[in-house]
Amino acid sequence: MLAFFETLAHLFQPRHSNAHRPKVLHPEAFAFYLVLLIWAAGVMAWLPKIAPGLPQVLGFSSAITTEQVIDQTNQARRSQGLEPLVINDLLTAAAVSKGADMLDKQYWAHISPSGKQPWEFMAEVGYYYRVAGENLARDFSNTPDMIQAWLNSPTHRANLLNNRYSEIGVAVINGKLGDYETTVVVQMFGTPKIEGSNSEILTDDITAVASQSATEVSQAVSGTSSTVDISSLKPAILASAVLPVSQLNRSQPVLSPKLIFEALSISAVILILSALICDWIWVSHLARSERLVGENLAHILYLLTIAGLIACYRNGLIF
Amino acid sequence: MSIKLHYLKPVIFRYLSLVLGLAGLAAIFWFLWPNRLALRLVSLVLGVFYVLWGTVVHLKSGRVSLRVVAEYLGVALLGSLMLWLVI
Repeated sequence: MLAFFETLAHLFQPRHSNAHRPKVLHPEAFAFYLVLLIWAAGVMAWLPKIAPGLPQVLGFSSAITTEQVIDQTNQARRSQGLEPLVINDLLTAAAVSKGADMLDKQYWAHISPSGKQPWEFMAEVGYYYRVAGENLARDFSNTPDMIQAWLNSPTHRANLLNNRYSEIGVAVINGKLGDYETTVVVQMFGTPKIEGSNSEILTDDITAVASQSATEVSQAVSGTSSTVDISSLKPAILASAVLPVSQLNRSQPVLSPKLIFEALSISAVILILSALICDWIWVSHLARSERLVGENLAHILYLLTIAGLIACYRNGLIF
Repeated sequence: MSIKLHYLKPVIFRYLSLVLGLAGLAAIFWFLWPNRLALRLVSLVLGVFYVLWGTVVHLKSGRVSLRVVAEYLGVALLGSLMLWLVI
């Protein structure tokens, strides 16, 4: 027991045994943290290759799943006294088709650069609606943040909490949009058409905003657009990027590299900040020792900036 | 009072330069989001800025050694790598 406290003091308290600087703040300790992080990154990059049975655990850049999106959408609806939405395979296929189209033609909008409307994706898969709507999101690392962002936006909230919808289809697709890897989420709502009734689209404010964004993105990645034949979308490509509804209960990503690194980073920052604060208090109030080391306050400011940026990076885009 | 200010002035100046540098780079990071390539470059620049700041500050005060530079390098690399891996 005594040895344990001795070790703890050696690690966190400035004393003779650690040259009056907590051992966790020595350059060798920082080298150890770096090696540990690089090792973890290497393991996570290589594990799916050496253990192909684990791609669902480590193969995703975000922790968003279609099941979570649907569950949390219905949770939000229930909290407002609305009926939960039922998963529709055709709407799901339309959402997958829309997501694949955005990544293939490199745009980020409700309307494609060639003028294709979300409703056309529904029609292509044979979903005939009485009312329909679409929400888009990208770059979110987890589902609750994304759903909250939709709820904070009046137009997306109106879609999410609309009592005229009865069905939902969701696609979560990882791919390259512009110059960087991202996760695109397409959420399609609808109520099937009853014979003799007219179709109606509830997102009438979408068109103007969507056209502008489609132009911007297509300009940024000019020359990449090509035609897409929905029937030619390879199941192998989609299977690695999307969780189809039929597999919702079988293959959930348990962890994502992003979440693991966030956890590792937060732990490392907490450990180092605690040691820095202990050392600062100890040296400035309890002990006067002449030593040649870095400035604690500067390290604290730098690490807090990094922690703040990591925390901010968790937010994504909605459309 | 003036003696205290005389000693505090360089401290305030060097920390002001650090805070402004970090805040400026954080603002650039915010502005460039969500371009991951650009954000990774900013995370590297953050690390380089911190090592340079630490080295210059210690050189000016005449309290520099290889271990001090190694400490700044370690903290900077760790911070940049954490940010890099999360982006």
